[in-house]
Amino acid sequence: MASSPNTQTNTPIFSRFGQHKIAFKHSLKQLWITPLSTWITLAAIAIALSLPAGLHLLLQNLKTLTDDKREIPTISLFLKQDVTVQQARDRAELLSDLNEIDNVLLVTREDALEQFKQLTGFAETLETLNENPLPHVLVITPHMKLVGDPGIDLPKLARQLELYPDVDVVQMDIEWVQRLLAILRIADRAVLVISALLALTVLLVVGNTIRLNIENRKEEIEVTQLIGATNTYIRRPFLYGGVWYGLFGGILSLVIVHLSLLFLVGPVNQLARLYGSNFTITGLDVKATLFILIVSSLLGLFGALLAVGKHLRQNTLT
Amino acid sequence: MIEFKSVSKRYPTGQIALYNVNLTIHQGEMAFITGHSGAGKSTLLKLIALLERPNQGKIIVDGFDLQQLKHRKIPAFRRGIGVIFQDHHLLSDRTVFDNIALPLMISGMQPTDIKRRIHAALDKVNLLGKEKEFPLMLSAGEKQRVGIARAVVNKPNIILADEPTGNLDPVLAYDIMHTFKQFNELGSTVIIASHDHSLIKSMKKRIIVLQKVQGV
Repeated sequence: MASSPNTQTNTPIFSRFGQHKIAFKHSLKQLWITPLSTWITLAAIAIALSLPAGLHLLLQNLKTLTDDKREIPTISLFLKQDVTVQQARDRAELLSDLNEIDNVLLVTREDALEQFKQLTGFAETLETLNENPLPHVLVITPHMKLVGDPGIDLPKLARQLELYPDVDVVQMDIEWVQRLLAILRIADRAVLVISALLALTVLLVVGNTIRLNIENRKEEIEVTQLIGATNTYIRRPFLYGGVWYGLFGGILSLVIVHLSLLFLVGPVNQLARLYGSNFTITGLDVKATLFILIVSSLLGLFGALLAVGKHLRQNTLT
Repeated sequence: MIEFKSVSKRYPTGQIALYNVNLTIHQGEMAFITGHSGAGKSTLLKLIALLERPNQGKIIVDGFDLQQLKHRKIPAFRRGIGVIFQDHHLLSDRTVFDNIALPLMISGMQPTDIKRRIHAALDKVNLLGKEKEFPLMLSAGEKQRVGIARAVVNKPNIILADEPTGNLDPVLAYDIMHTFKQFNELGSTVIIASHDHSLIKSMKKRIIVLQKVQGV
């Protein structure tokens, strides 16, 4: 009955697939054996993941606000007081020939005064003035495709327009967008730092859970080592366990984020309507969803790898 | 063949388990290792199964110099040896079938072959019909038989048993020894550590006596 001596370390691919299948099933079964501790671990992972996911979503939605404005940034050229309507028209015509400029709208001082009267309700006061204090204004819409990022190229165009002798003041209406973008850039960094810290938390939570699983199955590990199991064989079910914790934690975090979103969507839409905006809050897209699930699974895998690796290093038979 | 050449083993606690042991056990031989408690019987078996390393000397098992054996090849080497422990080392949360299946699963055997091998192993140790039972439901003798079935199911070249009859009554103990004899007759090298002199004398096989090392 005895077989020949064997120190063959490799197992055939189909056998290895079979071992993966066993580890796959066994690791899933382990989650169901202790449902309470499984749910507690999954909840901890989900909360840790939903915070950066939620913040990311918030930033993405805020960025769409600035994206709307990026489509129609305008530059207002306030012409000098002594510029006539004809001169203003000529300037508008010349400017519209420039490659960077898409459209030039002339708002004459008379039109401006009329609008001012309607908007402010100072009509009677303005009547008392001897002359119209407002200048002609050229409202310039640049070619977005040509100028690229408004945060970078529009100031350059504005400086160029400022050089014309009949131009008194140049004003860009995208300054608030730039400020918001600057704030969002800081927030982006903050979310990145928070994400890194919470990813570390997930790593530690999974690592600790797997460490406890290892403690509970110490006897089994020892016996399998005694009868010739490789470290890869011993490691495998724990690694699958780590992936399950990460993946299911990731799924649960997406559920939390989207439930929170449902909770917010009504009041946000109401607020947007009050500001006359069509802004609607949007959820995570497929790319972001997949990213969260992949990252959470990888975090689970690495957490398990650290825990089981440490155990095997400390408990090698020879 | 198993060869010990001037093998010594000292544990980190300072206890000397074996000192300058020279020994040859031939392929297909059945031998008993005996001696007082602390004489190094278990250590000798552990050294053969590479569960321990010697501090000095050379151990050659089936042509492999164990000192030279690469770390990654140790699990595969262990799979070629069936080890039976006094306290069985059975997994209490697994059925008899699952316990015996463990070495076969580690070897990557197909489920159909696993079933066939387990059936054959249980037949050899007279435990057919106990596949679905858990170790806690078994008697001491039955647990030991499950341990033997697990050790032999992979058809090992060498079978090592450490006090396999330690907790058993004389009739069961003789029965177990007879089972080992049958495996030996099928070609396996069988080495059994035991302090039961009357039992091992009755088996009429080679007896190796280890003396306890005194202050070397």
